[in-house]
Amino acid sequence: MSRECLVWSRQGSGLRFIERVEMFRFWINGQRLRLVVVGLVVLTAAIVTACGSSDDGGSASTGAAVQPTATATVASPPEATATEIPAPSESKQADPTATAVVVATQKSVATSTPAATVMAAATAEVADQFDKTRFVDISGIIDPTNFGWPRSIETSEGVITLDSPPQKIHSLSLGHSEILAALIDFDRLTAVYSFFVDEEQSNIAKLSADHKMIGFDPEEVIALEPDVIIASRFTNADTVALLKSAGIPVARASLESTALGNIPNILLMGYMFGAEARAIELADEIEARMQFISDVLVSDAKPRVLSVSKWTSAFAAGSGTTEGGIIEQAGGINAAADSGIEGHQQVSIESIAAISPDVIIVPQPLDSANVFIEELTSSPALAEIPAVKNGAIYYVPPRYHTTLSHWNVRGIERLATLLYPSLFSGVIFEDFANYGE
Amino acid sequence: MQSRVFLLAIEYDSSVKRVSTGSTVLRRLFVGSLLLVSATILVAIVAASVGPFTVPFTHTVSTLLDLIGIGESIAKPTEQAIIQSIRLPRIFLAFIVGAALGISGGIMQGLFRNSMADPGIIGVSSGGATGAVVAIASGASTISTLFLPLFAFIGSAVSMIVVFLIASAGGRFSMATLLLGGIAVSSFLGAITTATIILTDDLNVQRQIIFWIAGGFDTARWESVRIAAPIIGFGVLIAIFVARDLNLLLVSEDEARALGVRVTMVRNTLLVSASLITGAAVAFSGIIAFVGLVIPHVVRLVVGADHRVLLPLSALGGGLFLLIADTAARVVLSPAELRVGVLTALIGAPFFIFLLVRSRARLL
Repeated sequence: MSRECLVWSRQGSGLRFIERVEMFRFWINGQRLRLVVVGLVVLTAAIVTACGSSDDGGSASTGAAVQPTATATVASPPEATATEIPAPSESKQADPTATAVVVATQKSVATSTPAATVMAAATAEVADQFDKTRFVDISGIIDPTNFGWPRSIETSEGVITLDSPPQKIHSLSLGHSEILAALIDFDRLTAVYSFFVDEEQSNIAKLSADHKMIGFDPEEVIALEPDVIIASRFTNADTVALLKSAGIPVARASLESTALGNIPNILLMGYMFGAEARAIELADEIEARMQFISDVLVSDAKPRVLSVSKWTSAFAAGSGTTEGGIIEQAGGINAAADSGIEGHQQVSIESIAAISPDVIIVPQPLDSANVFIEELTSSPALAEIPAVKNGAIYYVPPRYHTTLSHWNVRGIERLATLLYPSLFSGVIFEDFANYGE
Repeated sequence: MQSRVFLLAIEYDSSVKRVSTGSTVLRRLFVGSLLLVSATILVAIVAASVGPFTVPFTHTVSTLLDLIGIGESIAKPTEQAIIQSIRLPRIFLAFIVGAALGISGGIMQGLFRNSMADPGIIGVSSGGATGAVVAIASGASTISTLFLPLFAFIGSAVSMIVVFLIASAGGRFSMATLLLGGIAVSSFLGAITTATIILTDDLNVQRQIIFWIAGGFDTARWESVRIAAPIIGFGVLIAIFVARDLNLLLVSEDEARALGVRVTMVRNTLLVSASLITGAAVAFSGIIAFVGLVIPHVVRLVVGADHRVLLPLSALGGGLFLLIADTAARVVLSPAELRVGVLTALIGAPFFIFLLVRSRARLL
């Protein structure tokens, strides 16, 4: 356990802690389930042999009970699909002098209202009402000219073919669930996990609060009989293998730590679930928000910002982390990365003194953040660093700064406002909307 | 694994037979202590002068001299603050904890006549971890910074008492039952700790427990030193005081009794003092493996198995070793840090293997 956690804490690069906990829990439960599955297979084989039957046996014994709508075709495992960050779309000029700019909160897409009874034909009709060229270069879409059903996608878990828009979708990560909440009716998600309802960590806490909740046993996932499962790059390979062996199609989609980097993933999700128009709308909104930030940020003198949290020991977010990416996209210099720290690394008070940041942000729950901020401000060793002298140590909501979904754009917007209050004076940023809001 | 344990046991026994005369003991103790204390002072000065924040060596030395009343520091206020409030408490705590683990390991290996015994063998470390888990999960650790070590220490003490009661069941104390009881209680408490990590919905609790268990000195403060030092110092002194009787116990309990040793009292005194100083060490540093297991072996390979020499030098050696490991942990990835437990194994294991191989070659 502790070795696993240490590895997590050191690898750090963009890894969200809750994703790691999820991986570990699935691994633990996976071992138990594996024995059960093997036992069932052996038992079935014994019965089949005894009866002299010529039944297929094997995974069919488990899969027969599931009968997913979509069928899985596992191809030879390709290399992990790398998504390319598209060039930002043409500049949507924001007026930096505006006294009150509200970055539009997109409402639900009028043309698509997926419900449990939506049929392939109806969805195909809606499919004509969006810019299909947006999906041409999206990694994972096998035939970007096919917007009817069935349609196939390919991830590192192989090719899966979806006969109709999946109505029972299970996401194994919070990041993908946050994206899906923006694209489709949340009721299409079969279940959530306990940490989804944590308002400090999750951007879909309210939606999740009234949703079916399950534990971390893969059996519970199989029992949900989902049409398709979305795994992230952090999901344990054994867990995925178990779920696939139960006959459920699994797609392993990417989760990127940069705002624009997630757009291909969002479009892929839209394509998979017949929510293409909404996916384009969300992608456009992300690009517009990021364009607005970059248009306003004209300052050359960038502050050095340190993102640091304390969980018994203090950990700084260096290069390759979500928090570090947010700092850079908000017009700051990631002080930890600037000092040579890669990923999330343990630091001491002395390390913080050596890094000497202009601004410190603390992305952790408010109570513990306040205790840590008090420790930072009262330490005599930090009395001379600019962040302490200028009173520039801030709590920031972890749900914006540690998420791997589009919600990290909100972290960028809030931090940019914090770093450049005069440039963003009068600007009001709104939260992203979820589907149907 | 079994054959290695056996070999170590044979070697251990052969070392016991090399019980020295009084003057040899004094000479070994004096020379060993002199070398280790000198090395510790040198390493401490180096440790006080290196770190992520650059402090000129002359500034460090002048600050250290100023602290002992010689001259005046020429360091800037920030440099003085870093040396005095961050580096020095950490140096002292690392040394104290290393000393505690080193001597506890020596005592446990002697009492159990087992080369694989470590300071936590009777459940003290697991008890400390469970106490810390209770402090974190209940929120007590956020009320006061002292509650976490306090709960950990109480956990260590309670687990020690429970294991003692198990070993004394039926009115007759048994070392074998003590060992097995310790393993059982450790497993039970370890399961509680793991279950808490897995079952809790609070991610913050999970993170705090995980990082506490990993062990380290990055949160060292003078308050930690002020509390840990008297407990550990007292335990170390008691252990050294009864070291001669431990030698006799190792020959045979009956012979020791015939020579006037109050066997039960000596054994219990050693067990309690070793457990309490381990508990105090765990309370302030988390669980740091390897030091308590290997340092006594290293010292034994060099100076023999006479506990009058072995125990004090294990304390000094453990302190020096952990100080070196923690200093390296602070600087190798600067400004980031490594967990000290990683370096204790990285530095210590090859050195131990070297001594082991050399020693076997000599015997052959």
